[in-house]
Amino acid sequence: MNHLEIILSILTSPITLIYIIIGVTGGVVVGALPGLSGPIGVALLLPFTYGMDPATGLLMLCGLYMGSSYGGSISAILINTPGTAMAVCTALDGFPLTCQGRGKDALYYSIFSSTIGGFVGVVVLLLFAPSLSIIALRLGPPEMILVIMAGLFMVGTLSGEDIFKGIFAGAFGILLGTIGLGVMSGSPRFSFGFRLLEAGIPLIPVIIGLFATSEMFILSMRVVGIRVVDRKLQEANPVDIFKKLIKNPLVFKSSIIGALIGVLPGAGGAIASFFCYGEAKRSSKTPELYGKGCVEGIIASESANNAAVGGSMVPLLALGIPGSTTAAVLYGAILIHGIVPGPRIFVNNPDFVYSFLIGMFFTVIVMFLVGYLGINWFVKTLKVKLVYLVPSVIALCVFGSYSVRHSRFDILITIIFGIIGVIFKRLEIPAAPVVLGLILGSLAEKNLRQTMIIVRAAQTSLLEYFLGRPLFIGLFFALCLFIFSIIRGLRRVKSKRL
Amino acid sequence: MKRYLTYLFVLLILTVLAVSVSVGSDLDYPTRNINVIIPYGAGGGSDTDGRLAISKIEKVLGVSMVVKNVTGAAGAIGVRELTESDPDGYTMGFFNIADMMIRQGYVDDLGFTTADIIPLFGFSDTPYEIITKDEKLNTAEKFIEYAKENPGMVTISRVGDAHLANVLELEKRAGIVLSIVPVESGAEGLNLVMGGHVQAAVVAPQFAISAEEQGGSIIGVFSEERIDRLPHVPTFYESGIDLGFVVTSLRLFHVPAGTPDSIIDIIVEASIKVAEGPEGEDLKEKLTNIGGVYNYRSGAELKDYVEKLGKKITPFVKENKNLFLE
Repeated sequence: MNHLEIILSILTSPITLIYIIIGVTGGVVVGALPGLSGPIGVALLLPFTYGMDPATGLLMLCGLYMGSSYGGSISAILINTPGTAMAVCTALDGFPLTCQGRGKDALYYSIFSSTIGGFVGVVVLLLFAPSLSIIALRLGPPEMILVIMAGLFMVGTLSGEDIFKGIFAGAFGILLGTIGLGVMSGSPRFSFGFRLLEAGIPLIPVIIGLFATSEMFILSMRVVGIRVVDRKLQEANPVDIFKKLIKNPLVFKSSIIGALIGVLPGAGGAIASFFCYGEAKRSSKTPELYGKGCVEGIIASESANNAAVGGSMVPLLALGIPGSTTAAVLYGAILIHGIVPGPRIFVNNPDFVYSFLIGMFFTVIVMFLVGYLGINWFVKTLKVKLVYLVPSVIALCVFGSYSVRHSRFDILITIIFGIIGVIFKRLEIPAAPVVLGLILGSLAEKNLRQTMIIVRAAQTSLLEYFLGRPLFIGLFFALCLFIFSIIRGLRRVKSKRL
Repeated sequence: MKRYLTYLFVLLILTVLAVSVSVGSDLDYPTRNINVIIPYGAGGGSDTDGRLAISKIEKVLGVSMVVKNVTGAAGAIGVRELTESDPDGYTMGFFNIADMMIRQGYVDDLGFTTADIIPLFGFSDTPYEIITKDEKLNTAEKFIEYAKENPGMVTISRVGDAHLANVLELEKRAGIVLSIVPVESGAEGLNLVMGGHVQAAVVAPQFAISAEEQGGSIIGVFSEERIDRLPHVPTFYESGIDLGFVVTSLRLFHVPAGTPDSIIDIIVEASIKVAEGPEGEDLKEKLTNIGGVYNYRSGAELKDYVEKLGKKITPFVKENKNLFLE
């Protein structure tokens, strides 16, 4: 009873609510601005939480995380510049919708899907944290390779017309990921003697370059039009959209898959959104509509990345193992108050855990309100003339790429990848697989090399070692089925076109 | 078009201003903000430690200390930037000096040496632990006996160079051969151990405590003395292994070589004020919460300690260069 009173007092205090609102709104803003992203925002806000009640501080940070997972979709949909890796897939269908004058539709689909995804993620966290974390523990390096392989095969669905162009882009991303000092080795690769390259090619400047900067380059080269989209914006009917959305099982499927991917160590919102977008297209009856303004693309991508927020908190709270960069920052935010995350946290600090878990629902609600009420403001971006929009976004790109590592070299990377992005667009090579390859390539390498060392130490053959892991065998067959169905899907799209 | 260019120009100027450093005179110190380079990511262990200490020191110095996370190449890029900055006390660095000692031992063209930086003071010196879930390995004695009987069959995860140096020295002194699995973070090591994928892991105290809570055991501490947070865990020395050195997480504040003594004195003086005042107690509590071991050192005491450590680590790393490069 006493616990309940404390939890209620934390949750009903206006201070907590104010901090959540600050966190979520800040998150939506950093997510939407190309160049700034959730992890940076969370790290910057962290020192301010030291003096707060631990649950309130953590809720503010998670609110920011939640808000930024949604915010990226706004700029992705309206001006085709996904601010974060999580929104890359949202742009694939969101921007074509804006071009058709249906930008408002897209934004309503995005906020509704994000909200449902966010709720599902938190429900998963609240109900299944202990059991899911035990399953996550069972996934060792060999199993992770299979999961990553499944992700890499999503290139097949991200490619559009020509699968070989997609494979080229994916391979290019993997190659970029091999530059610099690896996790596994102290010697630099492909640095050609340049010290700056030893640090590797960082993800965020590449994303900013490929998507935001290149889009601005293309816009500034365009001769016609004074705005991004000159077509008149149609009004949207949110109630109607919500009814359609709730009837579509895709939103729930993507939310659940997204939450589960969030639980996996080293994965996160970006991988969840890539995976769910690919899966939605794979299982769709009309995959040829994807990439041309299909609302299902937005639904899959946006529900997945918000569901991953709750999912990523599972190993953190239940095992004390932060699975991603953002989770590691949150881990620090909990530790500093003398609370050690782990299985005993539910016994030792029930007030903290339950206020936090229930408070997570508040962050979803606040995100919904900010997103829903903000739509009429967001679409004003479309009224901005290119002469103002282009330089502003380029300035943001420069600032954002610099701010990650405080490196002027990263500004150069953004510009170079801006040019590469323009070339890719001219040659009709999809850019999304580059991001997928860059994220998953080094992850695959790490897990493969760890597996090799572990197998060598066990002094058995690879086959023998794998046969001793039932989970590996199960996942292996699932992967085979999955690959088979992707290939069949590609054939089907091809034959439809002929 | 002209308006477009003017607008772009104004925005570029604003951006440059936002990211550049203000310039002023430094007749008496400090008169303007001090930059502190932390060569690791924002929100990570080093960053949190550093920002906590900075929040106390800036109150004493009376100016803001602005953290700049310059990451990459296991911290070397940020440290290089520190050595290339003006030695005027307005650029400081916060990192584990032992990491840099190891790196300069096996990387030929690092672009700096530890002679280019002066360590000033530090509030924490945190030893690493080895954890396991395997009952047949749960003490140092059992661990070594088993590893001797099964050479190369015991897997142990490690994060960076500091962990690796400890494991290699343990192998050498105990006469064992382990299979070393590199991982990206202590959290990943804990995950692999608790999931039964590797048998042991080198981790920092907060993960060692988590392991114990979940039914794992701490085999030993890479430290000369037991640590307060884990009073029941023996050091490897106590378990009869005569390690030539232990590498700890020795996070110190540094300035570039050539910084005037008068400025160094002012900074160190400020840190002493923090350590001896009520703020020091608060800092100690917070550092302990995030898994650190509070141990304030500065001046000659620190200089001595760092020099001795360097003399032990450098020849060891040079001798085992290819193991670090592997």
